[in-house]
Amino acid sequence: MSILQIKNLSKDFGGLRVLENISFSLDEGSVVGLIGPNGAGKSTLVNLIGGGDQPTRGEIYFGSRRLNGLPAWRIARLGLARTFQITRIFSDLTLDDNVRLAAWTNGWRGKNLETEVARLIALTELSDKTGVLGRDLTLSDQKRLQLARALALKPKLLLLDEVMAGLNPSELDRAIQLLAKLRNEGITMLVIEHLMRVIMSISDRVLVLHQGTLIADGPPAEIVASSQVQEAYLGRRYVKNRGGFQPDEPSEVKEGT
Amino acid sequence: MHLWLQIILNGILQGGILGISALAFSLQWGVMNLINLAHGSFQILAAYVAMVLLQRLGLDPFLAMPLVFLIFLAGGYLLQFGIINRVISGNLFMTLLLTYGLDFVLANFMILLFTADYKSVNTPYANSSWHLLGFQFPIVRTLALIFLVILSLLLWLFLEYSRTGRAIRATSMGTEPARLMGLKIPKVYALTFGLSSGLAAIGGIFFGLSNAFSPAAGGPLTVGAFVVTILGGVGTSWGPLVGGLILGVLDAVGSVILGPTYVNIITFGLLLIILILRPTGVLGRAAT
Amino acid sequence: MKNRHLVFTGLVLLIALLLPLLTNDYIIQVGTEIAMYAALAAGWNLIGGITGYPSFGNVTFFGLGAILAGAFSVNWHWQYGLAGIVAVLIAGAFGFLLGLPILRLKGHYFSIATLALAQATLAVVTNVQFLGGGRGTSLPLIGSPLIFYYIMFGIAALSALVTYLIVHSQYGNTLLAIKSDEQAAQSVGINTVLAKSTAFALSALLGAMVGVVYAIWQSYIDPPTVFEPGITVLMLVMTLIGGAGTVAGPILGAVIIGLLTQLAMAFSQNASSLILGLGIIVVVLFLPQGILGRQRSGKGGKRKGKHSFSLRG
Repeated sequence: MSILQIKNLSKDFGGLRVLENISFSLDEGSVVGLIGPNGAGKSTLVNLIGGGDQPTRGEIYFGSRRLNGLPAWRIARLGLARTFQITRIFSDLTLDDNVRLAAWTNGWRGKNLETEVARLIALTELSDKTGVLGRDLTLSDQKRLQLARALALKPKLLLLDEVMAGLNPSELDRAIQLLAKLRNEGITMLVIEHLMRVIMSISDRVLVLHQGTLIADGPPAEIVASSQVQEAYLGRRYVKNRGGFQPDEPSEVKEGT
Repeated sequence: MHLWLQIILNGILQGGILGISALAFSLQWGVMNLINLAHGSFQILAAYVAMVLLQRLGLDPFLAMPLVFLIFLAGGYLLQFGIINRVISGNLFMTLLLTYGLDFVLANFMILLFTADYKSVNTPYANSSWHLLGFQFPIVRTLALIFLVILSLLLWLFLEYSRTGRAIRATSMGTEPARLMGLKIPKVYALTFGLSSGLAAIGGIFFGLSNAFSPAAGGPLTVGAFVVTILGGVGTSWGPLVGGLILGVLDAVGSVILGPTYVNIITFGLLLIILILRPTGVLGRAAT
Repeated sequence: MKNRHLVFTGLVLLIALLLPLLTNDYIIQVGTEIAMYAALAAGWNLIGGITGYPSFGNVTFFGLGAILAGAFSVNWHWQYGLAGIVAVLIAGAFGFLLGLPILRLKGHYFSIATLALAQATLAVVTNVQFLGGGRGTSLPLIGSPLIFYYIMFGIAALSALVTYLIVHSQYGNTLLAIKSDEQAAQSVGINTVLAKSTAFALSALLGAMVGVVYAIWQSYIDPPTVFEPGITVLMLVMTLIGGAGTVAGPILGAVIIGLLTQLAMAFSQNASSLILGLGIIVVVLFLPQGILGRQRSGKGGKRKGKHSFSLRG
């Protein structure tokens, strides 16, 4: 049973084609990694699904609901939550008010509201930061806050855009555990991540974007072995010379380097 | 038919004065993201300066123009460097408020010096026209349009080909890359404000030659510059010319068809509609 | 903390209520004006301070309230009460409906659009005979100065109460969220268009209410005077001096500016304007957060994007 269906999606910015004829669907309850070099169009894709921007062509279905043309807030209310690569938090509100507002907007009231806010803050390990203004939070806290805020929507589908960038190794381990927990709760996730270790450990399936097109789609092990993916990530010459691709290869490998 | 052509011609020529004013306004906005609410008062001040130079020294406004341009260039440079730069990196509306305060001070200062009465720059040619092919070409407005074309061209050449001009353009695309290129942004900003103050002064002299003015006339001039800039597109070299011509013709035709009291409805109604439908203007870049 | 606020509020109320007992007409006149601007500034604060949309055209609603109430009572012989209520409701609806397109604009574009809105409304008013045209409208004189002092004071108190209720509600947090980051607000399901337009409409309702009372108080309405852009700027400056986004800020700002203006008037009309101008510059340069404004810490207060650099650093 698919929860999200993308059909022949394209996006142009001015004369520049950023996404070209993308089609895929997500099964309910699955965790799917979305990888690709910088500038491949990953964030653009997430932005289109979340309603932050409209596609030039193609369709997006959430369950049986067509998302094209819907404003972002309506999509969010349907149970499709997202985080932003460059963190966007409410800097004039305290950490708990950030989460509380999201929960309140989505129907939590009274005592249930407070319980839920406390649960989400504890879940994202932010309990010691309640009362701190959004603008005073560290980047790592902001990333977790975005996640807590997204979870306050009781989402069926989560779009996570590099929630783990900048975390230290122990934080990273806990974040991976958290995602595993969410997955057990039945939340479907589309995860953009540069860290192959994360993608390998949590994804059922991996999509690879390269220069706006979907060049691979399959189980993680298969993706890592694919020569096409290695070329996209590391450039033809690198693959020929070294013939290898470390699954643990850290982030930020740019095209053609 | 002939009458209508003359009316349209009047509108086109009016576009010259509107355009010079917008040239300065658009430059500040495009490069520094600064809306200068004191813009109109700068222009009126320049008109007073031209008036004083004519009355006291007998200096013709066109001969005084280079001098007034330089005075305003220097004044604008110092003002930006000393005061406006201090807040320009902050909240957008703090700069708006600051320039509003400046406008208040300038306007009341001018009332103290020159009273609130209407004045004019009396030259023998102020109200005369050239005649060509049966049409009237009011001298001052015709020259304003010619000046606008020349100034637009010069500004474009300056921004495109001179070292300083390129620094200004680079800064308009973002302060971070500009700083990486080793540009001193406060100085580039001061220069930009100086240059646009000088251009505003030229526009002010033309306004003073063709209209009676008082210290209160600054506000409408600022608003006119807004409209023309929005029409033509912010930060484009040729936008002020295009916007000036559009607004000039619309106002001229509109005031004949609907009556002069409706000109403001046209101006502001048009501004609202353009803002809502196409905030980047006719020549502007598409929004991203 | 709570107690201190309560004591402060009580004190202000007491002074304001007792003021007329020990003073003359001049003080009552000044007091009425201060109360009027406090209400206007509080109304501006809803859209400009809390929601973060610096309107340069809020005078539109003040003017509409005055003009419509005058037109209804003179042309249709309505009671002031009915004329006032209908005028306020129309202005509120006008604010809501115009907010829908105008609040899509950001930064300068929004400010300019609201400035144009005020001027366009004035231009329409001066061309419609029913609304008084270019000549203005005279209204029958009623009441005593003292009554208008209490009414204006009541509206100012109402504005403060509305602000207090909003700031302490999730709706207030919604507006603050919009001010922080509109895209993020949408991403958690907030209908930003509706929330902003509602704030603009509330701002319009308060402005129009003041306008209605002003018209009856002055018993003469001159369109250019009631649409004067400087009135919007006063609302903005007062809010800013007192502290944008706070409950007491706009009121404090109105009192300070009101008293300073009166002091300067003692010298000359012109000097008072000059001093106001210099005052604005000083506030912008040295008191950008206002007296009651929260001092921003850390990375806060910097603007994102192309101008996020500090020239002072």
